[in-house]
Amino acid sequence: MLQVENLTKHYPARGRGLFTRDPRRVRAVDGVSFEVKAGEVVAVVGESGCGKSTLGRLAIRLLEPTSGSIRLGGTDITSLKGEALREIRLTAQIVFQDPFGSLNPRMTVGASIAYPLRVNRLFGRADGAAIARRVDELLERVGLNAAHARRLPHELSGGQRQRVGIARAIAVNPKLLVLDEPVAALDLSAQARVLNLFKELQREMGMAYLFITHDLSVAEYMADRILVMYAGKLVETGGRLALFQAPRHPYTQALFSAAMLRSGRASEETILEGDPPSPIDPLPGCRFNTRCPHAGEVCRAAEPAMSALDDGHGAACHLLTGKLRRSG
Amino acid sequence: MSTAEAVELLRVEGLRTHFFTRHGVAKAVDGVDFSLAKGERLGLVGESGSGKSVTALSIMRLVRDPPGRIVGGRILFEGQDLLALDEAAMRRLRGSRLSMIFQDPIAYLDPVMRVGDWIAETLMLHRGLGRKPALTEALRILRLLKVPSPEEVVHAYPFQLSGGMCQRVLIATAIATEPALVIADEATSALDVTVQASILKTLTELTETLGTALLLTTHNMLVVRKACSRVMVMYAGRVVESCATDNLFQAPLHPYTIGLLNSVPALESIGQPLVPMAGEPPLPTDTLPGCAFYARCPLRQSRCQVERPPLQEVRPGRWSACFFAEQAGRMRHAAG
Repeated sequence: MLQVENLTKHYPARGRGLFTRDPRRVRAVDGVSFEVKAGEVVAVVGESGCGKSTLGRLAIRLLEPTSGSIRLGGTDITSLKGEALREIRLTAQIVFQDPFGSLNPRMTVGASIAYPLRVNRLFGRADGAAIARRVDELLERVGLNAAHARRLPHELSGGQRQRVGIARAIAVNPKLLVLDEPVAALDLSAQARVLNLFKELQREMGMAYLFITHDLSVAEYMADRILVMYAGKLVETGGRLALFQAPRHPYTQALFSAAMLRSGRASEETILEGDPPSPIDPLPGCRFNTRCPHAGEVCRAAEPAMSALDDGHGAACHLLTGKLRRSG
Repeated sequence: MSTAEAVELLRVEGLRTHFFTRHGVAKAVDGVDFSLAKGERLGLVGESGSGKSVTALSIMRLVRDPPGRIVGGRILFEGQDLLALDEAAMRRLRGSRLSMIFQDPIAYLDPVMRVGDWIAETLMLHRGLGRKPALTEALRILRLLKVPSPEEVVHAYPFQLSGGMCQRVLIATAIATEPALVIADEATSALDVTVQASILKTLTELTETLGTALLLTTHNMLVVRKACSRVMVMYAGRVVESCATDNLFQAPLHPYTIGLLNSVPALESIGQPLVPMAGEPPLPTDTLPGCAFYARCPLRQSRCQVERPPLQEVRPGRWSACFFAEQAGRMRHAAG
């Protein structure tokens, strides 16, 4: 469905003054490759600033990649422009985190959902009744009802607004949905209901999801496969069970331990010191070396490649390339 | 700590904090009772609007008036009623015997003050130290918190530090005077999980070393599970369940707690569907004669709509505000 090769996005660093330019680059996403199969749910997890949202937006060309290639449904979409670019929106759609900011406050819910139907000319220009019927159908599909079509976003709760965002995204029957932290702004019970809605829709419509989340428990609940990102790099990838039961990269291990998914006391955890590194001109070597409990000389010198483990599981760590021995 | 040797530090009785708004009286906290022992770590969990933060602010007497006001109850801290103190006496207590850490550390630090001076100010004010010794003490506290290169951090401005580092500075300020109680209001919610884990570890270790009690409010059940020995669950301005943390996760005795736990994906329950609660919490301006959870409760009976269930000790050490706590206990077993 989606194949991404060596995808990279660099931004110019913000200069210190109005007229000075900072020659450094922010490496938001740096050489990431992965694949999402038809009907598959792939979760991208990582902490703030690791590049996961940028990756999601690059994947459907909402941002221009610096280099690398993206194939969607077998077509290379890396450098599509104009009309051809617009057409990929019929295949791939996105749901954003903020259900307040992603809906036009002056547009009724119905108009927001009808919008993609109109711009993509899925119905005849004069066929208002058919569009209205489709909007009602979509509202019901996401657990709202026809009466909501006349409401404005501010009249709805956060969970309801997020459902409107979902209805708008599935309006064109896409094959791939990029979900960018779609439940992060919701309270626990609303969160559980929206997650269950995603599961239902996926089962019924057979869509693939690229599910971006900082919440590992959400990834565990939703995903078939998981990508773990750190400072713009992919550090580990694997099936959900393999990854949760036996994470291999020290960062993934620390992240899972920190997420407190298992019962136990704080003292038994692996606690990382320090903060994630700045993505501006990162140091050579493995980006995790400043916080890694196992880091050695080689980790500061060379960047580890992704080692293939069993069954599609892979991790980028020198402990696995054989160049580093586990300390302690 | 066994209950026999526990020394009571804080006792809250019948606390009611209301907000007087255009839309009516919002009863944000409406009859909360609990006590906290010296050195104990108590978690206060609930969803947004449950009243956990207002409870914390009420203890500090930091509720903004208007529109808010503490309309009833007593807050006994080290034997004296905080609600009876004048503002000057309260100000002497804040930052010395009890202190607070907030959710958004960058917003609470002074952007044009070096963080060393920020920590030192508390010491100068409450311990009467001069600026030099206060700065030395600030440095010592940052070391105690295992802040990397503390000599540089004391000279930094907040914008030069990460969110996690700013939160450590706030913790340093909160513990500088070795208070008896630290209130942490969603103190780790804005942080990444690895940073969150490290801050929680720091907080739990500190309370153990210094014998400080901790009241931690959070919406995250897993944070409570890691950091607190006892937990209270709040819903619509009241405590609905209170017990040892392990008990809560193993065998909750209130339908709302069960609903919350069934909404959190966890490793122990891989492959099991989430069972979300139906409906929304009542508005804080609603006046309900019965149980506030009635409209969403799977166990409700007609009695619950007209009569409010009190928080009762249904088993030793287990408090639940549900007429059908025992049925609720079996419900979780059936679902899990």
